[in-house]
Amino acid sequence: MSFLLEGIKNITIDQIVMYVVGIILIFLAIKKKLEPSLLLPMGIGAIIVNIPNSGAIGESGAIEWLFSVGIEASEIMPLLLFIGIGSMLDFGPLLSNPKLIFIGSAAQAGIFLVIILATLLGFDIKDAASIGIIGAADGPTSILVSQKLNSNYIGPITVAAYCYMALVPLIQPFVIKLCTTKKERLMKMEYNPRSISKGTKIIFPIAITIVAGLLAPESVSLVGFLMFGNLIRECGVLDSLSKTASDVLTNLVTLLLGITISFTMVADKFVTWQTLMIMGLGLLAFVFDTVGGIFFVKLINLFSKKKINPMVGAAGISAFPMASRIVHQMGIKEDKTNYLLMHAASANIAGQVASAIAGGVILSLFI
Amino acid sequence: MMKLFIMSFNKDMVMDALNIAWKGFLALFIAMFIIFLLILVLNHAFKPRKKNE
Repeated sequence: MSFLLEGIKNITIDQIVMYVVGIILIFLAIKKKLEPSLLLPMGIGAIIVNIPNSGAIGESGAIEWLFSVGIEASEIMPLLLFIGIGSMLDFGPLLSNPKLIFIGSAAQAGIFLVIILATLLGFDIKDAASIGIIGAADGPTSILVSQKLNSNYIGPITVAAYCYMALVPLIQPFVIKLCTTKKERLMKMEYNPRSISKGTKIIFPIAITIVAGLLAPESVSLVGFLMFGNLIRECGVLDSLSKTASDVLTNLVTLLLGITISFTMVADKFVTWQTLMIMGLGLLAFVFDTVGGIFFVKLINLFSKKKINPMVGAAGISAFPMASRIVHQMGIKEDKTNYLLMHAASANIAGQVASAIAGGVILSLFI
Repeated sequence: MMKLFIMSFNKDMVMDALNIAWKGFLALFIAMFIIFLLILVLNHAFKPRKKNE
């Protein structure tokens, strides 16, 4: 009967640490409701793959198979998730107020600053770029870019990306208050939406796919799948497909993505100092993104007659719709008549597009 | 061990990172500027019909 003790005999301290990490992720998902659809599968997956002689990994292991087919071979899982995200996005607010599109670019500053910081900390340039992309505030982009760049740290990068996306309501208000004065937060903005024709809404995703594809060919799967999802939504003849993409497909892929990513959370790869550094750098990426967006708006305001509330700059990150809601709530908190939701939503949608393009730009610079 | 890792940064790598950072950030702004122009053109070309027309 000694075989019953084999598992217990072979267990290592690092594996026990991973059980604790798994339990923490499950706790955050259930008790704190932080990205539960992803953190919970990742948490249980972290425990499964770290059982000594785990049958879920190895040649015939189910989780390893899911990883090699769904992520390693073609990155199909994050891409399928992009179809779902695209089918949920309404580009209307951005199309009616296009000048806010630049906020989306400025709020990606964290990506590029963290790439520099990560190399200063000793990371290899491709790993640094993969860590920087945490600042895209977009889980599927982080997974796709780090996988395409063959990063050694896909696990910690994914955990950081999803944890900080869930923590946006804690991170952003603190940074926004630090970077803005009360007078700036009270700034009101007029909202006169231009009505957008159906033709514009249909041609926009097609045109973006062509433009992004020609400018950064590596981004075409990223941006193309996002826009494909949006085209299904806007075309008006595929309502049931659009509903399936935004509901069933997204849920199904998310369910499998979390447990699949847990393959990269094997103790000997995860329990390292580098993981702690990646968590710190990921947090900095989110902070720099928010700061970048806010200060870009302040810069525009120096030259513009119609002032933009600097808090709207913080909504330029890709975490949708969380970032725009936070900005709106902070506006209301300062003055009950200060409605910023639609402006913030425009910047937030610009951030979604910018983060996907930023991922493609980084891939184009490397591949 | 962590200290050793941090001390191992390579000057060439940092220069590469700086190079990628400015090129990437600029490329992102250029791409978004093109999308901005595209939106202006689309909004101009496909104006919504007024109800009384």
